[in-house]
Amino acid sequence: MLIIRNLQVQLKNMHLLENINLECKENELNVIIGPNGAGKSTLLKTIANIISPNNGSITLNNNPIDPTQIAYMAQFNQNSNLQVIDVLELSRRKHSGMILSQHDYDLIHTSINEFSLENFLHRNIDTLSGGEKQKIYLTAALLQEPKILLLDEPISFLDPKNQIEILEIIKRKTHEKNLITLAVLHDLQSTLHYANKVIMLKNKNLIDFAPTQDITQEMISKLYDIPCKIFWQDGHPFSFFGHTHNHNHIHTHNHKGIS
Amino acid sequence: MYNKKLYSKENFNVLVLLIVITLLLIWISLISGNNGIAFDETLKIFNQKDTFSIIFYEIRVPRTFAAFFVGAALGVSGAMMQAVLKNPLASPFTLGISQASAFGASFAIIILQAYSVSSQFQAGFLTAFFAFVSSMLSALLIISIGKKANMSAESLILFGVALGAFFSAFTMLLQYFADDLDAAATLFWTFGDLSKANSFSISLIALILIFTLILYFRIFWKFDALMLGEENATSLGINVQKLRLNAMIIASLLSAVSVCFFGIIGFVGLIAPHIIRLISGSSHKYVLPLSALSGGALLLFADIISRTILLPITIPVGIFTSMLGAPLFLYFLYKRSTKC
Repeated sequence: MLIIRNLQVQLKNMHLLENINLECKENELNVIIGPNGAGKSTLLKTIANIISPNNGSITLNNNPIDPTQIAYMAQFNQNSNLQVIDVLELSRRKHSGMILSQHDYDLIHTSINEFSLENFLHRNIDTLSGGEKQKIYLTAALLQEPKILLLDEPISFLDPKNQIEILEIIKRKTHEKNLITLAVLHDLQSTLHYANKVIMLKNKNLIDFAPTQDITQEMISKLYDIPCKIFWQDGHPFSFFGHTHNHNHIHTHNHKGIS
Repeated sequence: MYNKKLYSKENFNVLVLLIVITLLLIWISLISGNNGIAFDETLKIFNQKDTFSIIFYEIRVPRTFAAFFVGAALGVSGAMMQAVLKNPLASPFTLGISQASAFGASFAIIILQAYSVSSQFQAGFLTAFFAFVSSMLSALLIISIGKKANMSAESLILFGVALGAFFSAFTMLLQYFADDLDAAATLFWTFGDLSKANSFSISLIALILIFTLILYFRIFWKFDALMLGEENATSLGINVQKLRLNAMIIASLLSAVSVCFFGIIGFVGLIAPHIIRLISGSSHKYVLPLSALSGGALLLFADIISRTILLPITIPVGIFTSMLGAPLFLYFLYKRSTKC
């Protein structure tokens, strides 16, 4: 169990996170949502030990977190001019250094087969499409065999098919490998469909932390300061942001909607 | 197919090709002299007579090895600086290390009157010593102020450029007040000349180069991680600050030691790693060792041309590397922009 207690992060005089308390369990996909600048990325980076907290503690099963227990996938990946295979091997070199073991090679080989990466191995990663890139960075993160998987906006800028593919991998691997997964998403629809629990950050504070089925449209409206509707149909939640049909706001939706 | 070997087949071929080119250039360098490139002298190497033996061992062998090791050292130094600063502009020349060493040399020649008070050998040593101290001080100044102010990689390079201009200004000030002979000596020092090679300078450079290559080839993957960005590298358990600091110090040492004995040799440190990055990509298992080979080959080539193009005059190689470097660099940039 990942336990965060009284976490406070400050950069120079700017407060980035205030008094965050969280408990995340294995085998669960926790999705962090919230407006821009709420502190979502900061929270991930603090857990990944890229930013050090000013106060509070982050522990995994009551011990401080070791870098080898964490895999972090950044929001923006710089052009690296590396080959795909170099990126994958890098994930194992984190554990083994310059010389990879047979175990490392087996893991890489299995991942290549599992995610059908054979044809990309010697391609320059900068020349791949957004979807291919994200898949490779996600594979690289999983190859690190983490206990905690941290993903900063893994599906932003992807088309719907690629979004679903990436989210399916994240969900499946979280269960297969018994991971504690925290992912920042901007898409509420995907969040409601895939998350086990939702972490809601606003203005540097944690305002709600609830299982997905308990999320109400009031919580979301409060989080984003815009009206939101959540419908349930055939056991699936559907969300809808934006205008309401009052305030003399007159227009027509088709399918015999309100006019 | 997933290949377990450290080097892919393609890049192994690049390695073999570079070694062959280097050996060829060493051979050509050993048989060229006042008569230009004399292929009939190949046999003489194995059947040496007195005069040829002296020319061969006293002049050509040191010069050839100096060209290779200085080129290799500058190539590796540039590759490391470009990696830890994650900027393609980083090199001993752009970071002001060369200009600082020119200032140190000018100080020794003009203020300390190195050449008028001591023997030729002592004068050379004194000049090299001051060039080395000055360039190391400049490098440490950039690194420590950069660290204290928590500067970004871009700011560090800009600071290096500014510091280079600062040192150049002081060098010119010294030259302005110097007498003709000393001014000429300092000017000649900045040309970059491999004829000053001796076994001490060559073995010192070779030793530091080999030490650096062994040390950093073992952790080449940390440089690769940096290519993915600082945050990714940190999450892979790498202490980015420490890696950057140590690599900058070692890379500065490597270039300072090369420049202090032979003067300013521009462009090799900048262009040698770029050639490799374009051919083999940016993984440092290729970039570090192959930059040494491409740097060495580049300087050997430049030295052969500078010795044979205006026979019987030998042009200082530093002039020629910059002449050769600019169009070559332009060619690679052009090739890259058309490729993407």
